[in-house]
Amino acid sequence: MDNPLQDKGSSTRTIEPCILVIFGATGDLTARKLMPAIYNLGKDGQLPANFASVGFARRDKSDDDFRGEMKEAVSKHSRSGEIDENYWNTFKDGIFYHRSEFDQDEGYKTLKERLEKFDNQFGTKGNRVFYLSVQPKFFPLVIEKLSENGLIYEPGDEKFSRVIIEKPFGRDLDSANQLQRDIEKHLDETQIYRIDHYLGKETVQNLLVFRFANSIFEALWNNRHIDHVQITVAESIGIGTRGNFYEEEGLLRDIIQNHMMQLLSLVAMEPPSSFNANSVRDEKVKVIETIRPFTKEDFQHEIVRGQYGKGVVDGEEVKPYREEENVSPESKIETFAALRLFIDNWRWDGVPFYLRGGKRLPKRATEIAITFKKAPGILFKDKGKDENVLAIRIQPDEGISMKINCKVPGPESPIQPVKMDFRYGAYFGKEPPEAYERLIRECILGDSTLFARSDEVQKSWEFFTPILKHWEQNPPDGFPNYESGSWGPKCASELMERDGRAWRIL
Amino acid sequence: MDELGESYKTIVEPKDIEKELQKLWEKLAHEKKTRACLFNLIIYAPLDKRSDYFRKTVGRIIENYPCRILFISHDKKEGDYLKTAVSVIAQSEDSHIACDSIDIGVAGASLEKVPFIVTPHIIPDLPTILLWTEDPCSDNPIFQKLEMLSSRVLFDSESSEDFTEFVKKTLLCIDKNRKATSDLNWARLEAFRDLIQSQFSSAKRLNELKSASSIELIYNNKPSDFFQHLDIQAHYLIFWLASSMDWKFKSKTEDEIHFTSDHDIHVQLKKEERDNAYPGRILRLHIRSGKEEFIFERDQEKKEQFNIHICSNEVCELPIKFNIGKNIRGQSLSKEVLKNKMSERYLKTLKLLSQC
Repeated sequence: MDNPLQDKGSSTRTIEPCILVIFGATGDLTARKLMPAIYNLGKDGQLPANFASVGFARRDKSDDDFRGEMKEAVSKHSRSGEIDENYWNTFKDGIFYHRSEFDQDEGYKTLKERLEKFDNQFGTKGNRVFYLSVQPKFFPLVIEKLSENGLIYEPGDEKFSRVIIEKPFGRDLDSANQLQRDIEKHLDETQIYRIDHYLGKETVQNLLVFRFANSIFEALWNNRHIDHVQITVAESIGIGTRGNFYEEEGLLRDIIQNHMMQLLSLVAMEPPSSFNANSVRDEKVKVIETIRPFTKEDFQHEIVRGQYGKGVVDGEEVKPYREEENVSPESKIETFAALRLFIDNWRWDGVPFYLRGGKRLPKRATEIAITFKKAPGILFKDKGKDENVLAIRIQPDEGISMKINCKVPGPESPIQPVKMDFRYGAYFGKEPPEAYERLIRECILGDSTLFARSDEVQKSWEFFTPILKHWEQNPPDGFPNYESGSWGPKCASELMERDGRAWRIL
Repeated sequence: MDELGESYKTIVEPKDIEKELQKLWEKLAHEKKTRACLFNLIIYAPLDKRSDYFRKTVGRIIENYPCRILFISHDKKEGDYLKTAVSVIAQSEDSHIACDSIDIGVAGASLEKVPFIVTPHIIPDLPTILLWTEDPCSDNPIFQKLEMLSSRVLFDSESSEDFTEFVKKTLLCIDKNRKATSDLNWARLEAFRDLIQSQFSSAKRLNELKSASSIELIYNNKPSDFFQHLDIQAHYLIFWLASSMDWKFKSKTEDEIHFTSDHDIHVQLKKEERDNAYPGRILRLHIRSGKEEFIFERDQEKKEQFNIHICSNEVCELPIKFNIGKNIRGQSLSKEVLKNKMSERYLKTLKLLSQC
């Protein structure tokens, strides 16, 4: 129905009232990301008018205690800087805390009662979003308890209940499939929202606009014009206090299997028939399905790993991975990985995709770089023309740049590469919303486009699980093998050099 | 160059370099300055009387080509420190174009940190030129790491006490790392080399040059604060000629060089002190072949002008005046930074020089 109150063509998505329940609310993610996201959404008028949030965790505290902690967290971590006291005084009245163990039925019963009271108080109509900010091992338990205690509705019900889970979605194919089976007992796929926060970044969403709202690029976006693609997810920080987690996961599971696969699929996908969730995700899954699986030989030659040693980052000396808290001094866990893969379809046949990710690299930078083939022919052959590069900076300094060749003014000057540069910050001024803001809002709206689907996750694990098994059976020699503050181990450079290419210096 | 006042040079922690640069630019927004960058220029300079020379030279480059400067001053006398500062440098007083400058002052063991400070601040997709003003033979521990970041390396042979060792080390570097490499003294000769090339452009003239039996070269032996090794350009020129003509090196003394081809070629190097020419510059080149003589003489009054006399046994051509362009500080470096390929001529010259 056309709403006479709305202009034609404007968004018709109506955000329904709901209550957001955060499990594991006393954890780091809530303080750093979730509560600041909810606060900013509310402040920008992006939350439903009827809304409340409840923190669910094991520690003993009152509503006011929790509100005080969240105020501090928002002051510290919100992108909008100093807290708006006027707004906070209203906002905090919709924040509550519920104490319970994850396995106590009583806790879920009392939660249900409280939520029903809040429905009356805030007009939230029984709609629920459950954010599981807990260790993955608790996902099945919490979901089961929610279901058993009537907090999960049938799909198609007038009211909605949705569950957001964070990566990792399993640690290999078997565990991912098991997790899926456990979840599916109680939830329909339409009720599951698997967060990969990269999908919430403005620059990642802009990839689709860039590709499909600009006719000039699509004609070049194929193996006739593109020489290779590099995707880099670099972090300057180490693993901090996450030693326990990292010793179980490693970088391949932490970053490459999920974030990088999302970036890869958005870069490589075919245009979807529409922007509804399934159309977009169908195309992304097709990309992952057509990645050429690694053979035994490929484990030796197509992928390398590394572990950071001591070095210097941001001017300070930093310790090696093996001296981090809760890390074994003989650890064989990788903090760096780089690989070359191919997508076997018409568009990408023969185009190598080089992926690298690492901790304790010189700077934090996530970038997709499309390197085009060199201009053909003998013109300017001796003048040193470079290949054109389209670089999409995901973070920081979000933007897009294009490297082109220009003549330097003068009678005989050589050709000089220059950059055409678009920067989000310079053009749009205002800070873009944080990824979690976008994603939480999309979940409340019921739009799963920016969330990973079960088959995406499964296909990704199908590709990476054999690699992980091979690594487990063949522990690396010579760790650590790169200095903190450098761009990674020598073997990563060699991976490119043998193809006559080089990693970009970011 | 217009450094926008000391108030714009901000000492910062290494981790805050980009943030502070951003703040500087925000302050400048009302002055309508455009932030521009054609390439990254890393300069390593030991803190001595020459480092000031290079600071001024770098300023000249910015006047032509805005670039991100990463200037490393290495104090070899003081204890151990690492300081970083940022500033914005305009092309000129009334220009709206300006660029970033990152200064790194270092002494002692902190030197090892420098490549890690530089690496994250290279602007991607643009060439990176490393101007290494120390003798490459000194085996500085950070050279390799900075070279790896660079697409082009420029040495300064003036920094070296032993030119032959400098040549050998340069060749080793080129062989190992395959980077486009050059030397400021070689760059300073470009205009004169172009002049020679323009006169020996026909097959006939080239044959005459090839059959040259004696060459006399006079160079300016008047030193300055910044230039003490004054025979380098002379050697470059002679060995450039020789390598181009495929002469083979035979022997050398302090002021004589002998080559051989199908005949012997005798080269005499002479010194003269002249106030109105830069130290080390060629003042006169006299080439004698069987049939002709070629004299290239820098004008006594106008230092950018060469007077060219060409005579044969039968006839003397009318003298030509050739202006090789005004010598401005930083001009050679400005030209070199935009060259992205290894000069084959330079490589050949070095190989022949290494036989000395």
